[in-house]
Amino acid sequence: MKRRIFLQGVGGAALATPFLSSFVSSTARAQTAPPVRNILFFTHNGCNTNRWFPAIENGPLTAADLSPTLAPLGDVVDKLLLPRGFKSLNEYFAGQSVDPHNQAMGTKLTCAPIQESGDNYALGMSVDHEMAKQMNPDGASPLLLSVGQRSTSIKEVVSFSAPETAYVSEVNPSVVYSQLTGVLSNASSGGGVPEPVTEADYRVLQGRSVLDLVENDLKRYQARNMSMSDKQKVEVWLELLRETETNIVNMGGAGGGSAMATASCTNDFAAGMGVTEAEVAAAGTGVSGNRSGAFVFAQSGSDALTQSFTVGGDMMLNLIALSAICDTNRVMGMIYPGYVIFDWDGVHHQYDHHGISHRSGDLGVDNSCVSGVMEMINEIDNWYAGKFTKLVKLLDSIPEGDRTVLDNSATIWLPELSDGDAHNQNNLPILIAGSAGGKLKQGMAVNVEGRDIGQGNSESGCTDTMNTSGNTRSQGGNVPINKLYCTLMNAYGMTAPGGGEWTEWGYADNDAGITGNGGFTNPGEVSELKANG
Amino acid sequence: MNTGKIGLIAAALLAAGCSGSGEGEDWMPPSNTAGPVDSAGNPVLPPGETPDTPGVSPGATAGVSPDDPPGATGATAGVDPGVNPNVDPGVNPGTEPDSTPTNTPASKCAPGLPATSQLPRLTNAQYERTVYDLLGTASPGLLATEQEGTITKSIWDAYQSSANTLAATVMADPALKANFMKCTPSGDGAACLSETIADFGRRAYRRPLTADEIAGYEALVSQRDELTETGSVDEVAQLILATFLKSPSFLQRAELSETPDPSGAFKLSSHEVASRLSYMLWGSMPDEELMAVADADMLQSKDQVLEQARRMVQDPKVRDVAAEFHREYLHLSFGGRWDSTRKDASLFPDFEEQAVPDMINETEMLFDEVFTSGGGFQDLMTSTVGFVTSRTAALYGLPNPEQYGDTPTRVELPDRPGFLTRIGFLAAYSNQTRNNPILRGTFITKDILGINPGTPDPDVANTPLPSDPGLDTLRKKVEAMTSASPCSNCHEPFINPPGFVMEAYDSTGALQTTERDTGAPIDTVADVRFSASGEAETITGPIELVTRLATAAEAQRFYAAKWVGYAYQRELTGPDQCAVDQLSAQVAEGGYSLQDLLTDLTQTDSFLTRALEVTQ
Repeated sequence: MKRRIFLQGVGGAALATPFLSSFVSSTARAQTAPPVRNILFFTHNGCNTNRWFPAIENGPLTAADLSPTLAPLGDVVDKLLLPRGFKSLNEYFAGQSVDPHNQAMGTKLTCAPIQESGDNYALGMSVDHEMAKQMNPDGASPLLLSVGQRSTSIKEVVSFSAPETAYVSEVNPSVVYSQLTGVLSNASSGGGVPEPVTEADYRVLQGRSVLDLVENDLKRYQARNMSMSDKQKVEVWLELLRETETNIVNMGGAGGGSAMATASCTNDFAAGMGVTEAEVAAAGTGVSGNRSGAFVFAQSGSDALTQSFTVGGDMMLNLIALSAICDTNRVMGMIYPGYVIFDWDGVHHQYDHHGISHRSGDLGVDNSCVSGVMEMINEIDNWYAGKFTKLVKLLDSIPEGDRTVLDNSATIWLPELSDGDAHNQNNLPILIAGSAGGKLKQGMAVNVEGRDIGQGNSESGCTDTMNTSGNTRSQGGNVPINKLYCTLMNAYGMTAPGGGEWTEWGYADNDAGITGNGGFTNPGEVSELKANG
Repeated sequence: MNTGKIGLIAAALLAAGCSGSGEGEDWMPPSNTAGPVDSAGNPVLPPGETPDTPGVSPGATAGVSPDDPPGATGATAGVDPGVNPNVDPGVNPGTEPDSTPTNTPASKCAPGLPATSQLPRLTNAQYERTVYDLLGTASPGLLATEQEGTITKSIWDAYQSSANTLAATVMADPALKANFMKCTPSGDGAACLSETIADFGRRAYRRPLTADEIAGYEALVSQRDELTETGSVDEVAQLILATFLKSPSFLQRAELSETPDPSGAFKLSSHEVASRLSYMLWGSMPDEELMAVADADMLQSKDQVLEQARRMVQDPKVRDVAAEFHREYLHLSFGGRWDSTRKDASLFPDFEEQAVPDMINETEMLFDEVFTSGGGFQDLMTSTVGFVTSRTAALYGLPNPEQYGDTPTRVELPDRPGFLTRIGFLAAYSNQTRNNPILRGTFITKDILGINPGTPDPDVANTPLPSDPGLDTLRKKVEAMTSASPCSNCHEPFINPPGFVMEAYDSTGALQTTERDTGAPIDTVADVRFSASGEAETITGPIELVTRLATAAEAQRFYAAKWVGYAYQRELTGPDQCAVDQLSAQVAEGGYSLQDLLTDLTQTDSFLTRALEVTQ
């Protein structure tokens, strides 16, 4: 009886998807080509480049070749691609002269200049959003995560959904998890018993009823003589309702997520990773958002930050893996914040990362080097290398098709700066794990500049107690980073506007009058990075 | 999130010889080639007094302040210290609503009505408080990172998750369920469900539901067999609750009334006024009394509003809003300068890191004490009520500090009037190894007096402190470092003097009389300016300074203006500046409590009306 009404209410065609996905076996799924993903791992304030770069800058890499900082990746060295010689655009003074960090963040993924006043947001859309539009089946926005404090500051925002529009990272793991719960199947990892069909049916129908009411609410506003910006708010919301409706029908809430989800997209598997509602909530206790009561500072800020960076951050990496497993997003990122005092996991600093990157710790301590500051930089670099390794190995542990989730993705460690004190953008330490489904070279360092670049000069900054600032930048490594983005987008099978391969990204044809050389970037991909290149 | 657009102040400062740019806080180096360059042609960026990303955290709005953490919000509006050549706020929307300027900050009183969005969405904090008042349970904390304006997919998804979770939580707990369903269902429960739709809907939407809306929810009930597994009352009730919580009418404070006002704007309905009142004063939904007054359409005059406002500022719920405002006033946010306070243990062995939350709490409790006890702006600057723990008592030099435990004890601190002389501020606005007159002086200049010195160029500002052995005090070093133009334009008249006065306190906030390293006496006498254009006054020490700040017209006006921007959630327009003028005059008279100030914020012309927002 209910079943018949349900069919009338929703229509047979729409029903096919949820039912089908519930019964698709893992074997059947594997026959479809797995999705390709772009996963960003972003860190601030540069690094000790001497210790980060392997000596080999062109040619095959073995575990023994890895640098001290990258040594933990020895087990997966044959899945690494080390592109040498890229430079981000708009380095301070070389481009704009607003602020070295603001320019680094705003221009990093947009290859566009930033606002010279106000928020200093980027004047272009960032490449992750172009990827999301093409790589996500529904064009959904990227999933960008962070830890610590929620922030809309250009100091912490690297993604822009549109020119001058910051795309803010989510810091609360519960927010991410709650949006996955409708997707995770109750089936055991073996792909056995699907959820009762009726529950999924009701979710579809309930969802539609709810959306109808929400839509009516919004349409009431439309009848009013509103300002353009208010009308726009209503329009955007209505569009989101249409997306939500599509998602409800496609996913059916039956578990299993999209048809491309791996067989591991189950509550059991998630629990095995430590991702349960309780664990996620515990991981989010260090999150500083959403507190409205007075006297909230009774809780030590540093304790909260420690919780968020360690337990919370690891949970975010798990949620990235789970989102890949369930195919809820194909463009993701972990954006670590830059202005924090490391005081966890055996690292106990007195000064924040930014101050340490400038070698003087508490800026204003008279230009002298903090005692042992290079070791502090190394500790932070090691900590991030450990997290990158953790993410890479996690993704590599999940089978997908003939490969692993890692293989079918490009997981990219992208830094804000090369050396933190010099703020230089050339010779960027970039590391890519995974071949994007066989498209990228593996187990190789590839010097894209064609001349020796070296490991930089980070260790020449504090040779005595005075910081000889300005000596720590690298020489060489000036191939514009937009070429890397073009390479990746082509590897992902994306098409440029007007069709064909991507040859440019960002302000390729004009530089907004900033550099005066008629072009902000340099067109073309770098085919040497590709498996067949 | 208010963004600091204090551009108008800078114009006045230019006249005063201080080099903020005419654009406001966005100080720019003169050309792309400026700045020190090394032999290889690379820019030299020495770390120094004021970092490019100063302090432990970057600024929320680039360039607002050298020490704003990412979460801090800039000032909403500034003081108009003189003539402002840039703005013509003199548009009267009364005759031509479509020409009303939108979000154009103004610095002078000009008649008219500020245009506002009709669809402000609840802030996350407002959402959380509303959920608590509505359902008696804390929100599950599932909201997405706050972003003003147009909704995004992640925000919408998060609202839906939060609604589903809340609905399940409430229906699973009989006590919470009673907050949602006030009746006991009998039979098929249809009568009780109808009653709930009308009753809960009125509270959730903060107005009675329309007939169409009721019909929409009733349709969920009539389709209960199709929509839910068993068609039970609880199942359909849960669906109704989740739907309410996803509704734009719940998530936004829509102002839809189109009743013309004599001025040419629109007169708000009583329910819309009730929401403005409760969200401004409580940061949450109206209570039953306020709703009853609105139901009776008795929020149509200033007197009617005043009667409610007077009641509401006595309610404990207002304290949360005052605390939130004062955190913004103090730039006190998570991950910011205050809670990242650390001290060099070798220099300050008495300073425990655990004292940091105690210090912050003391400052918050001082503001709360002034607010709840009927104090005014002057008391924020001069109150001697303190709240100490064993960890902070030692820093204050109190005898037998161990007698105070972990919980704050109320004490009198006659030598520490107002929040600026308390260790919370003093330690936060210091370096780890020494006090920092520039940080303290900048805060007093910019965030107390509202004189915006602009943001220094990162390179120029990174000048190291001179190490000439003849400079035996920090003051002499800072004076030497900032003595050349352009630094001197702002530092000599404005920033340095109050910072030097506050050198009576060391990096931890303890009293000091001599330099730690040289033993030279510390000179706390300086010629301080209390307005951008006024004469300097000789101030001998911190107590004299804070006492003078309490009566400084610029400080009073800046504080009042900040309240107007915070309460109305907008950048100040000409009409708002008229309100600032009136409130500042009251503050200046004295005996004007913060509660009075909040009450009077409900008495402006714009509070009862809405002008159409015009945007490009």
